[in-house]
Amino acid sequence: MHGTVFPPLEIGEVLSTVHFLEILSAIFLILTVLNRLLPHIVSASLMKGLAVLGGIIVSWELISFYEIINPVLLPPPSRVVSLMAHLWSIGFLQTQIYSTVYKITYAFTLALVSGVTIGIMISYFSNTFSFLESFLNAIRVVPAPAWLALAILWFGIGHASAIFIIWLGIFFPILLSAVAGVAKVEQVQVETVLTFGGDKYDVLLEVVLPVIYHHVLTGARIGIGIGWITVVTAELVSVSANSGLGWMINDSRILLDITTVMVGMFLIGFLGIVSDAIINRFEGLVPGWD
Amino acid sequence: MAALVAVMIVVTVLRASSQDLVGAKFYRVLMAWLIFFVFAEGTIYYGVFKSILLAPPTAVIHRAMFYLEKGYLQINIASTMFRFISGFFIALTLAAPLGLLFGVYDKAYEWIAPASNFLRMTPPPAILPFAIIMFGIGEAPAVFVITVGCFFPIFLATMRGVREVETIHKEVVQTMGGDQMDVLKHVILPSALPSVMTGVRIGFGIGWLVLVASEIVAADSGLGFMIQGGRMRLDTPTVFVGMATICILGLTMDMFLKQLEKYVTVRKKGGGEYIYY
Amino acid sequence: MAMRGETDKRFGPGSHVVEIKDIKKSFYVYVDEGQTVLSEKRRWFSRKKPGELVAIKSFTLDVDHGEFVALLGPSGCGKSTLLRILAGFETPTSGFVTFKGNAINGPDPQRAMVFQSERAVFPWLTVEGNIGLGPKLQGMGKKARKEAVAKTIELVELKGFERAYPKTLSGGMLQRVAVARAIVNHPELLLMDEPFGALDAQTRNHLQDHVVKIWQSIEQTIIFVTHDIEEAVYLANKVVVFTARPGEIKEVVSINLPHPRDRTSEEFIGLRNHCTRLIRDKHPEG
Repeated sequence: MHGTVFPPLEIGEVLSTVHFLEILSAIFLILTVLNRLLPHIVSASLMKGLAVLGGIIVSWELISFYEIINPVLLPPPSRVVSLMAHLWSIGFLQTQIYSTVYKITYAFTLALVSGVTIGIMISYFSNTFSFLESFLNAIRVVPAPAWLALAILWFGIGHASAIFIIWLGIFFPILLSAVAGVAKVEQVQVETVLTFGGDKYDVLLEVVLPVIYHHVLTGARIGIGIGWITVVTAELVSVSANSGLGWMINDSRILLDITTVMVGMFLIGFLGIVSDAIINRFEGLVPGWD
Repeated sequence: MAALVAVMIVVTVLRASSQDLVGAKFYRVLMAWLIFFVFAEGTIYYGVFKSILLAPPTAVIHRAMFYLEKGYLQINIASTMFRFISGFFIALTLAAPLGLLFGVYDKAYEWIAPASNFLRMTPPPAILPFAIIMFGIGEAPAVFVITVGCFFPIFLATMRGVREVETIHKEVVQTMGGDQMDVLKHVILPSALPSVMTGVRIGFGIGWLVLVASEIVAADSGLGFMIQGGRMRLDTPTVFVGMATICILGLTMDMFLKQLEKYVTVRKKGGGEYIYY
Repeated sequence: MAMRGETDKRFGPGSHVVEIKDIKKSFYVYVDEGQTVLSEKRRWFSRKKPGELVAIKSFTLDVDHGEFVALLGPSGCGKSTLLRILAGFETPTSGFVTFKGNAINGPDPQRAMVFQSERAVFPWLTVEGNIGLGPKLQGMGKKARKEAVAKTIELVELKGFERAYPKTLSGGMLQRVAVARAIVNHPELLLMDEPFGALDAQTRNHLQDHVVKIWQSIEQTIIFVTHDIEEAVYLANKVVVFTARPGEIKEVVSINLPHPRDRTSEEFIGLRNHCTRLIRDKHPEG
């Protein structure tokens, strides 16, 4: 795949500032109503967060509208939204989103499984693996993007290199959190299972996994943040077949198409928030002492 | 000369990566690394792996010596460190006071916290192209992006540290006749310090990550740039030199941070969480 | 289940539930980077000769079915170590222990243990889940499990809390869950390691009555470790008083008062004073 053809720059209908502001106010009103009706989903703090962001967007729109900053340099959000809608309608946006999300999800799953497994193994067999600790430490301090060059030498340009370094970045926080979690397993808990006639595997299933659950979740949140940074970096350098949101941003920068740059930035930010929220959802699944 | 430098590097790596400066463990780690290097040298040199994929340690050290003589390595290290330290310190000077401010005033906190939680998830490299448009190519976009990256962890952690100060402690100072400034000085700052340190540690890590990322994407000097150059020339030893330098720098900073954390928390009486025990 | 008073001929030699014969338990003491570490085995590579810590010097005791034995002594006298040997977590350095005529080979649901730490109850399971854990590991079916759990919950008076999570329960309730968890397997021997040590006085008394009630209703053999003299005298019909470390039996005090016992009665106070004197005997500070 030699790279996607970049779509034409005209966006047809542009949302005017007035319309945009109207739409924003409408959304805000709806959210306020939802806040009254469904305070669990649309909470007060969510409202405040959205309000602050909304305020920033509105001021930005006005700054562009009154040409305080040249709108060529800083396109107003109304234009950004219009372009987003346009790119979505021609299917271009979906391809890029899919590409990025695919890479990061793949790498994340790999990292989760490998991180937890190896973390547990290292903790269980700490005597044999203690020599590994210093190697892992040395590798850990090298940030994932630094591996990019080596990855390309090994795997060539393509998804494999990208997924490799993303995996690398997410693996370590999860590994560390898994090891920290296993350390928190208390001897009385292990002995309880043993007293009831359980064997080593029962201990693993019934005690170790529930105890490390929350630690691993925290590690996963850190990991996904690092994962996003890494996937964007990889795409900015066009590592994987010229696709993905990062590539879209960089390519439009070269063409000085700031509006598309903005579209990309917002989408990445939005997806980042969504991924974090998804991981957060899993917090409640296993109760702890808190 | 080469051997001397090699030994120095190996020892630094060992000391830092084992975090344990004396004892039987040190020797075990030393043995492990020596075995590793001998193994690497043997297999790679004798072509067990294709020569592009890996470089034997001797070739790497040779290349490193070459760069050191020409001053090439030093320039790149200086470049990288300059960007990182500038970005980090700007972030620190902004984030810590702001975090303090927003942590102390409840109303402010309520409004800023959700928005910050949204904003912190934007990966700084995504902002890089925009920064390049704004500031042009040069140091500015990289430093800007590193600042953004370091800012949020420190800001959020400081706020949380301030919020988690126990009311009882504040009340104690107030009954002793202290005013707001006293409460700030004697309660809030000491109690929040460990959280701030955690934020600093996380910010350090993320900043380092963003630094390398931005050097790969948009820089004309520095270690990341050096690594990319090596890759394009299929010059694997250079790639390894770059990565090893990053590794050593990272370990040194890690050690430094751990010492700093120990100093801060021990001084605040054991963990700093409950300093009035 | 044998009726009270009948000699139980089900077991092997001696026909006691537990036979402890002259056991000794000692550890090697090593110093690892400033930390004192106790070790079972002698290490091959070590610069200095290790110190020796004798936890139990010599201990002999027989326990019969249905007895309530209290192991009473100051901290560090080895009573918890003895309990752990009975549970199967440690082995004696010399001497032997048998359970129902057979050697002890590791932990077993028939020698169920109630730990002191309330954190032994798993916070990620409900009360039902916690109590049902033992049967689940033994392979009991879902329906049978539910019944067994329900019966035990009634016994410890936690009805209504089946679906509650430990974080919502008080300390006393958590210990009741711990006890229920141990007895749901119908163990021959119930081992309790200072289970009420972390609770406030009122709750402690309440739970002590609870334990007595359970003991009476299902004829449980109980070995109960405590450093609280009054607790030992209140609960047990046989109080084994330990010396300070290294642990040995000072005296075995039989207590024949009927339940429920009156803490203010003369006989009670007399027995309590007797035990107090026994414990304080070697203590110049006491």
